Amino acid sequence: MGDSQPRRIEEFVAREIALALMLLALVLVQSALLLPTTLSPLLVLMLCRSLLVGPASASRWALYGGLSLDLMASSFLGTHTIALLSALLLPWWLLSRLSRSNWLLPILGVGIGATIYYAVLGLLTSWLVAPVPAQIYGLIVVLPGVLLALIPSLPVYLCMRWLEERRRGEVPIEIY
Amino acid sequence: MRDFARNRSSRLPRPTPYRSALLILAIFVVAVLLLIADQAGLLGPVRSQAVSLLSPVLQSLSRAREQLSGVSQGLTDVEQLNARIRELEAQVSQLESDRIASLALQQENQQLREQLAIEAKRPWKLLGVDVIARSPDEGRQVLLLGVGSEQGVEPGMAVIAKEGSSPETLIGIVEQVGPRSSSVLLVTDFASVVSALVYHENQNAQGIVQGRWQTGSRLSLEQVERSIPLAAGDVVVTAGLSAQFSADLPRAAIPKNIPIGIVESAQNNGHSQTAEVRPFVDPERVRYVWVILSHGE
Repeated sequence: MGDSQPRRIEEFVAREIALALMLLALVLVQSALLLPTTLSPLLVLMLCRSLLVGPASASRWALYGGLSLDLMASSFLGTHTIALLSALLLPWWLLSRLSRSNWLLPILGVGIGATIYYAVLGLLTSWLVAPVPAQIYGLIVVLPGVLLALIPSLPVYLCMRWLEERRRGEVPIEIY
Repeated sequence: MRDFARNRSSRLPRPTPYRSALLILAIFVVAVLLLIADQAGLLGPVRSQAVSLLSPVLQSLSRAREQLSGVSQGLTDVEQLNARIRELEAQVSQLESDRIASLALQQENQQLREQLAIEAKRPWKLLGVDVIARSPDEGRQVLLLGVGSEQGVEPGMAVIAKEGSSPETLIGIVEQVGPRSSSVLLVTDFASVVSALVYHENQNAQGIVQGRWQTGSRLSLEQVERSIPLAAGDVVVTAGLSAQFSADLPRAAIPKNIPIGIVESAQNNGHSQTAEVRPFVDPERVRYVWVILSHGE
């Protein structure tokens, strides 16, 4: 009984390190293997995660994934984290009344979230690096980025929902 | 039920709405603090070390990408595919791996020959290197190289590349340098400004080449005086004056007369001329580049 609290903390730290390494690996693959497109797998995964389990869990993904993206993009550390955090909060708040089994949920959530992500990223880049004309940035970066994020949103959401339900189903505390 | 009880005792408490909001707020504050610290230059060494640690992984992934792209390219051509099938039928696996190894050596040989040819023509000392990663989003046009200060790379150095029969072309400037890695800001990025000379018949005029990728094109040549009328086909090269435009760059870090691109169309806007410039080499497609370590000027 005496050492249960330290063990829980160790487990928590180990889980966080594993999550950070997994997201870093995803960003490395995105940087080195994927063609230069505006598709961001991390963004889609994080938004689906937020819609499924809430923004608190997804915000940790935003921190680790955002810092990894900053390292690869040579942007100031924290830039992508702020953009990802902004992207996950509004869709979750707007769509929290929708059922998780509603197929519109991931499409609307990822659409709104991706738009906010690219908009915030553009604003931060304009502010910290150099100004970009908003209308042209919207057409060249935001629009293709949002459309590309929408394509995998439904299958990714369904897979994650299935995994989440399976994971919860195996834990007795959720059943009894 | 014993399992149930054990699971319950080993789980962390479920997050309440208050704790969730606190966590999100804490992460936001951490991100803002990191942003401020990085902008003040406090995190530069940490970032360099982190990128250097990741550099070997990125190089491995880059090699895997090269192999994958070779396979996909072959699949698009039916003749190549048939030849490839016949070849695979005729070869055992050992010979096949030898062939891939020899292809890599051949490519390296070709790259070194190109480097020697450039160094014979120009008084430059070059460092050839593979591109190991690109910017993962469209906010910035940046390449990551697997060489850094340990190999003599410094911020402000010019980075050139060749594509097919193109001349050796400026594709970017080294922006940040770690011990074994460096990032290159491409000339097509909107934050890139390079002084340039444009040759029209037997005359030349100075101007500025600015990146335009984020605004839908690639490069634009601006602030060219009216006395020399620009026309499609005029060649644009570096003027070697870029230190005037960015105080962070070492003086005269970009040598003169590195080809940049060719004028596609020109407009006269009253007091000066502007032109759309097509780069000789598409910076987004390059896989191998050279850093100009010294240029003897």
